[in-house]
Amino acid sequence: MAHDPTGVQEDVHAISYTTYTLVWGALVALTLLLSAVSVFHLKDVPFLTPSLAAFIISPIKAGLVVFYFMHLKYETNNIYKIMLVITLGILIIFLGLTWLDVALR
Amino acid sequence: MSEMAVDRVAEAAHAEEHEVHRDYTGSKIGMWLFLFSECMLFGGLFIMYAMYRADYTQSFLAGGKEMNTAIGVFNTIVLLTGSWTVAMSITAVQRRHKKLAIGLISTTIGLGALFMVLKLFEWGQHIKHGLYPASSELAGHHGKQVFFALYYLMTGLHGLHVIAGMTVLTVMLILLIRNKITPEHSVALENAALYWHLVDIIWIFLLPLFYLAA
Repeated sequence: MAHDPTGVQEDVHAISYTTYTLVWGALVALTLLLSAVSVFHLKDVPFLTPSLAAFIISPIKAGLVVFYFMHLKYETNNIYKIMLVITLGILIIFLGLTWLDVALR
Repeated sequence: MSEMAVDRVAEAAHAEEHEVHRDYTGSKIGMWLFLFSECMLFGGLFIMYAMYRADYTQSFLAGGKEMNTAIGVFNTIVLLTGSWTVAMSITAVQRRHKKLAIGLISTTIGLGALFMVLKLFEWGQHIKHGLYPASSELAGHHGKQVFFALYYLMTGLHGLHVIAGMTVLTVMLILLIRNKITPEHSVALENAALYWHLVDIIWIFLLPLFYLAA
């Protein structure tokens, strides 16, 4: 029913309250972990220097929001995922080229 | 009235009665496209931050030390919770739990307001301490001036998005109360929630850049 001409919403996957709550719990836990790493400088924990933690944890948090809260995981139409990849690709090209310009000046 | 005109009026009335044109997929794709354009807008600012940070690393670290990390982290949790409640409001609408949905959307709007109050309090504190680009305290500290210019620009633009999101969600609340948002036609609420989540995602990246920079 992907193209129902009446426009009535099709295939809407109502995600359970439990799933949302688990994702929220994970997001809060990751935020606290990231803050703890940055504030207390947990130097003994390998691979968790503050900036590295930010580079890893923040994208994971954003991913949880995009895939669960924004339903991307449950979208049957792949166009959204394709658009996301294109957007991220363009941002990476912008960042990479700008970085090259600054680094090789 | 000519016969033709009468026909046309009857036809239009008939069309209005039976065909309210809705395009669920089109609405969704339109919203996502808009959100991606927002990503490019903030993406440009993030790139600017990265390049200036490479130039003024020490100043950016010093600037990060001036931030109130506790408020930053608390505000992050406020926004994440707002995203959680607005996401659940869609499930509530689809399960016909209208009262719960109204409560959840109201909670999100309230959390948005709390976020803005804390943000304004923070800005007030910074300005009181002379932490703004043209202040006499920062005179001569070019790197710190850049840090605070970016801070006000990025959190300010984000704040405008929070206000816009709260406005849109208020409209959704009214539509829901008036039964214009139903389990069959909830795409407006879904799109409003998508916008709110984007505002949340932007903040997820602003937190480590400014508050945890030190």
